[in-house]
Amino acid sequence: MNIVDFRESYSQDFRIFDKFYKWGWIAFLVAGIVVLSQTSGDYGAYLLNLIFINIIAAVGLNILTGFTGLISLGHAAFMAIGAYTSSILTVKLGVPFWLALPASGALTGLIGFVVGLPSLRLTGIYLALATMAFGFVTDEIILQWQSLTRGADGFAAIPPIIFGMTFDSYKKYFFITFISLAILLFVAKNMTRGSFGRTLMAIRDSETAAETMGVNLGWYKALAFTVSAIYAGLAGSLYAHFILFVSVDNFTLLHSIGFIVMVVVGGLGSITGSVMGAIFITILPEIISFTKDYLPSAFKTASSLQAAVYGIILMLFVIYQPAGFYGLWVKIKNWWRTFPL
Amino acid sequence: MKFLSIRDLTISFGGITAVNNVSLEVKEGEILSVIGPNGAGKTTLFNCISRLYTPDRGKITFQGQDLMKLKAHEISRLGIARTFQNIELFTNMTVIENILLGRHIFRRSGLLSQAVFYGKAWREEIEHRRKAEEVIDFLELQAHRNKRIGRLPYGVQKLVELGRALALEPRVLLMDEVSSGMSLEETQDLMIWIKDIREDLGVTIILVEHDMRLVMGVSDRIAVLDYGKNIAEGQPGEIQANQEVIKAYLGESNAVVGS
Repeated sequence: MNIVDFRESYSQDFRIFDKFYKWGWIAFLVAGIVVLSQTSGDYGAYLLNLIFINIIAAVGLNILTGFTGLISLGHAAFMAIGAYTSSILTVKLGVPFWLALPASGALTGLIGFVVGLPSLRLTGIYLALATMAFGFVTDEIILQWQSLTRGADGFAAIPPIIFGMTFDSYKKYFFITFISLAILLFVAKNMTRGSFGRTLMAIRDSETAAETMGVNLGWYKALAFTVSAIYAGLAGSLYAHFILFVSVDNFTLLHSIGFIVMVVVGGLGSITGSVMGAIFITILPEIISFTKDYLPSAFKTASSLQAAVYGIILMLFVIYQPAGFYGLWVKIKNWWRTFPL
Repeated sequence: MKFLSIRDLTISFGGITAVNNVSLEVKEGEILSVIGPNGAGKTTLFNCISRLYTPDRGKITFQGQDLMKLKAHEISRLGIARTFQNIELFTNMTVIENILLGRHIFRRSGLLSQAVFYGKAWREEIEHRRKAEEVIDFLELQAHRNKRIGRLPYGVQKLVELGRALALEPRVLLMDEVSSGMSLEETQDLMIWIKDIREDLGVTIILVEHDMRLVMGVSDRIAVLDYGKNIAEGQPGEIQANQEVIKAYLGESNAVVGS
């Protein structure tokens, strides 16, 4: 292992991987995941789909919270908008899935832009409250607009059909979520490694300095909201055609908090971190339900066990590992690289 | 056409008039120092030029353009860059990333092209990095280029701020107490750099400084503020001998003893 890495070109500083051979590891990983999805049974494929959808939403939220420093407690609502848009377009208007997916992303992005506009003046806890209120309003609109959304009954979505192929099982649907995830991760990485990501981080670190350097704060904050909402909307659309049934119960405040936990646990301001965080938090409820049998009966019956575990994990990470899984990973990597030292 | 002109500038916060009827002409290519006791309104003056504050009265024009009609983020596009008295760096970013932010106004590729990050966006990124490396070379920051700001000593942080401002390829550079927190040696280097910035890069410099050796060493002209008022203006020699200035710095009785 080389301890000192010499760089010979400027692009080496911002390539996704500094060494080309590392793409080989990605190829291995992709192959492994595809094999796993097709061999691990229905439950395994279900979990993989869910993980991918959550990663998309978490990466989107990280662009807003981790990179730009703006909090959103309304991300489940953005997801709901994406899910309902996609379901309604495909079921009521017969729009094909491949068109409904980007359309739901676009509409959510547009709404995200509008929600992002007040963020020039609202920060911190006030922005958290405003976005939370946005979530409640969205829920209420979905419940009341029965002619469009069927209100509290929920809305049955249909499995996507692309080129005459129906993706009606978790194993088949896996390919849709996996390809979407790959594209969206690549795009997120591109946006954050170049000047857009730098500008967002600059706003997070010092608004005054960013402004003097020529950054239009209002515009960039609204853009960050837009990009973040697009990711959430796409995740919502993918979710609707995966679960095949959407209702407001799937997109509550607890879900929004769940995304925040993913981003914090994974590591703020790191795409890789969001991937790790989303995997961990998605698997967590499954682990909880497995271990429930071994817990004392008082815990077993507690209905909000999951929320409590979220809370505890969030607190532990904020106190002991504020850089999240990603920070831990970097530490371990550096320790190995300089091993005997 | 006047280069940078400040006319009858007045701004008050509550009952305190921080800047009171200040007029100042800055000539192209000169090094002008603005000095004065604490609270004289020097930084407030800078904040008005960079439009972080909106003055109550008065006018600031740069090459005929009225700065009062612009927003804070539009000022840098005219080529006016600045550093801050209490460092305003992007703490969680590295030195080179901070300097790259100075290239913000030169971005041409849109968000969509960056999402693909191929062709134009890629070439642009390389071009900006090349410029940033030039600044790093100029200020001899090579040893720190990939370090996060939070880990750097105060004096180096001040230099990074200067570097970030230079990356903007400014025509006017506002330097707010760059030498504070620097060692004697660093200040001497700074003196050479300030002259180099003017000679080699052709940048007009306005300094707010407390270090009199630096001020007397580099300035073409000095303006003295006291309680928000412009009490004297002239060449270093004139200012050193000016009774008003001595009074402002040392008080009434000392001025009598001194004379």
